Amino acid sequence: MNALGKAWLGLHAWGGMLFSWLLVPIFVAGSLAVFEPEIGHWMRPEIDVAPIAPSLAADLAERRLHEVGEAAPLWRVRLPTPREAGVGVSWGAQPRQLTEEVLAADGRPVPLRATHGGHFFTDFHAELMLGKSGRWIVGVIGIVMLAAIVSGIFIHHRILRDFFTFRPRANRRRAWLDAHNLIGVATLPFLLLITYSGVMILADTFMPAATQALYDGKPGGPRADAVKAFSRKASGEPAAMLPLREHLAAAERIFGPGKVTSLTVRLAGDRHALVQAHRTVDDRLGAVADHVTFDAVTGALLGQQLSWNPMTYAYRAQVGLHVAHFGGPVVRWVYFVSGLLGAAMMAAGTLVFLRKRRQRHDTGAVSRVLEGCGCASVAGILLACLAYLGSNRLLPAGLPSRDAWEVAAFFAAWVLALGHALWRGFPAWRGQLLLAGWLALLLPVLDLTTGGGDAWRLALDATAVVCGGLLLAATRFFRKESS
Amino acid sequence: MNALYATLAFLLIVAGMAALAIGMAQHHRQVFGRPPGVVQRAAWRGAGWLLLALALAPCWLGWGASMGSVLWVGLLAGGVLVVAGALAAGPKAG
Repeated sequence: MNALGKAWLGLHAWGGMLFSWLLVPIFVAGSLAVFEPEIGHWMRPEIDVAPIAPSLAADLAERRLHEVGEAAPLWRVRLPTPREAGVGVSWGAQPRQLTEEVLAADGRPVPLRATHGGHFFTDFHAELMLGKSGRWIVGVIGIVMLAAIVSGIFIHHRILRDFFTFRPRANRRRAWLDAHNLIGVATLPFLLLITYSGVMILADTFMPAATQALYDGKPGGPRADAVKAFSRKASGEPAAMLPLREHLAAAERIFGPGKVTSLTVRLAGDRHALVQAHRTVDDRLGAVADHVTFDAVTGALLGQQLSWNPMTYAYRAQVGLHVAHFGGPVVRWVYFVSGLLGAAMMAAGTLVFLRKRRQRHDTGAVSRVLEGCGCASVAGILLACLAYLGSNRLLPAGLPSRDAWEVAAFFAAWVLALGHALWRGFPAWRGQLLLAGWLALLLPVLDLTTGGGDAWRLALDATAVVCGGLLLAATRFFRKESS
Repeated sequence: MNALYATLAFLLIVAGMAALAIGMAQHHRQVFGRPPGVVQRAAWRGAGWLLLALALAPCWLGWGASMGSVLWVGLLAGGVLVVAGALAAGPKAG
């Protein structure tokens, strides 16, 4: 191999391995985030999946909001969807500080446990729970991932000749390298698409120059340019609003039946009150939610946005490609499986790297750290996710700041896994994968004994069983190495 | 209906990837015990590409051109892995 090839290989091996410590967790969390509402439903077993017709949902929400939100100028209603049961209502003075409830089919609020639900995985995936600095870190990691993909293509000499080659019965190094190459090549289009679009979504964080120059540094500037707002000042005179179901029916005449996902009431109770309806994005690639605004008192159409400027389409198409709200369950499963395959591809690469060092009998402190972090980033993150789901059912429902304890369980399990891996070295892989596999197999038991068990939650349980079975099957590749 | 389209697309993709694999000397030997002739090789490869292209049809019918194309690209990965797994599980896998 010439000097350039060696440099590519060095970049790929070291860059890929070091950054995989966060890339694998980001890929695992991102795959789970595809099913954010479904995981959220699993984590709130109080909610029933009984279907509620949109117009009835609007009635129930309206009645509840008149009870509790009479003084609040801002109301939000999230209508039930095939992915999110119950009617979500929220009210308050500021968009970011709303009180939220979920209503059951009888219109009463469901007493809910405090949880971040599936949104935790989205948050961890996009910013590692660190806000803006987390977006910086994830953005940098994404750029390294792009470099690792490109360098990987360069150093893979037999990319076409070995396109379908997988030799699990060859020696262990060959088998892991085959797995790394095979999954990498097979998912290459997905990896490029997801990494590039992910970096693009974050680009405004680490390349703010355009926003600074064009909008005088106002962070909401680009959004205000893209989204038409139909707002007006309060009149100060009270007036009765038309029933929400009439606004919903008017919005459905524009968007089509069943296409409205949410209703927002501004200046509730005022003569200038407004009702805004948002259209679903689940049937289009670009994640742009058309919206329409009515006069809440008279029902007159005040404005609508059914088309967007080309830049908005271009940007939101990349967002849509990344978050995969389009295309229904089939597309979600393809993204979920592809994301986990990406994580498995990186894990296999890490194993090739670590094995090479082990074969040189390199047992110094550096090797110990590399081995420990590698294991914790793959097997440890699975244990952390399972600890998060498990703690959701095992912590008492009334525990103060319960949602924070669930997140604490995630990180505690991750730190424990890292400590264990640093202490035990290579055998920790097998032990942790066995534990993760069995815990995943036991998840349905936990679900059924702690109040879950409806069809939606059983679907998640079944997925956990399949994943657990695959993990247990994979442990046989981690027996004490002979070759 | 969409589940049906997705199944059809995936089957076409697996078939297409299998044909492309058989169009390669080492896998042809693995499956038939001898390397392919020039015509055979071209035929297998042509059939493979054709089947992959055909799989676009159910994707577009079910999801439209833009979403359907993304889905098609996503399903390609599954096709490669299924064919590679089948070849690895076969009798003459190395």
